[in-house]
Amino acid sequence: MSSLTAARDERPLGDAPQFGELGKKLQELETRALSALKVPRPGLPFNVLAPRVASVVLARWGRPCEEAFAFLATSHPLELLRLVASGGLDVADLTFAAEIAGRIQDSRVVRVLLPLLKHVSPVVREGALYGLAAHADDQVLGLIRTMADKDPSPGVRAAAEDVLSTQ
Amino acid sequence: MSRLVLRFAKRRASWEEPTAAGVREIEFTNRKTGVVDLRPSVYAVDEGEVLRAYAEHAAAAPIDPEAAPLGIDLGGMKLRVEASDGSIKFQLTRTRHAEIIVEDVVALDALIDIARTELPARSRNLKKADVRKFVQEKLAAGDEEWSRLAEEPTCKDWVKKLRPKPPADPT
Repeated sequence: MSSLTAARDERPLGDAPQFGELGKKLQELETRALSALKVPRPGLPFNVLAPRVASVVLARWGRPCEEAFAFLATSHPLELLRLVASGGLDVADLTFAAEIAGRIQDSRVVRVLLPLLKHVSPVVREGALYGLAAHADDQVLGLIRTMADKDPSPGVRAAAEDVLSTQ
Repeated sequence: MSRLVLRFAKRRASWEEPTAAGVREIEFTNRKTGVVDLRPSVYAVDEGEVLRAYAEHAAAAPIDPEAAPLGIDLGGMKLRVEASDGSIKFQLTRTRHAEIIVEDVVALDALIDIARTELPARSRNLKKADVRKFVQEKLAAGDEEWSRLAEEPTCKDWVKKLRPKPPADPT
């Protein structure tokens, strides 16, 4: 798998090239303003998000849920990838976050979701499969085929078959 | 022969969780509120209607991501089932929608445990390819309910992709 990930986009999840230097300065100002307003620092799992994004998510949802993940996928896609990669989501949230992350049109999605195909929880592996369905190049399809044959969970094997049959 | 009392799963693998609490967390807990659903939705359908019910449920339910194509038959247990209107988009799933009324989390876990113990007999495994074929055929045949749904702005992408292609312009 390392050779597969090495060939992919290795840009860090934290940068936001579309906003440039001005965007970075605005983010710094926003962070300082939130700090000055004594907005509490978000707890787990949202503490990995940029402060301005975490404050929006906390205010609107308060806890991880599909709607919050969908919002992040649309408005702050790299933040969702960072959240998924952080290891801070529990199994019941991570499976849905992984699936929703698959909507993001960015090559870094694959880098974040591939390790989840080896997650100890079958439910998380299933979510990662659904997320990867929209990013399935030959290499990813090869891994999904292996899961369809060899994953210990019947549900994951069936999910992998589903993904393969709808490509 | 009595109808199935079918609960569609959110994940195929969740019913393999080693404890009822694990299943409950994924399948019966509102992730937005963290509250356990003590009135879970089910459909009372005949064996031959499972595929249709799933397709309609997945296409019309205000849920995203779509459910996994796995139904668990909760029939044959001591259940309090109350009919309740389903989505207005399809006649079958509207009229066959119901809710199981569960007293508390302990009762829900007991129900889950029975279903987990008898999972092979209670599972109705569908294939997504079969679901899509069913929908594609409905759309190709101009089925009124499906055609109307496919034209709605909120129609899910997977349904839109199954719409018949317009004939190529001969010019």
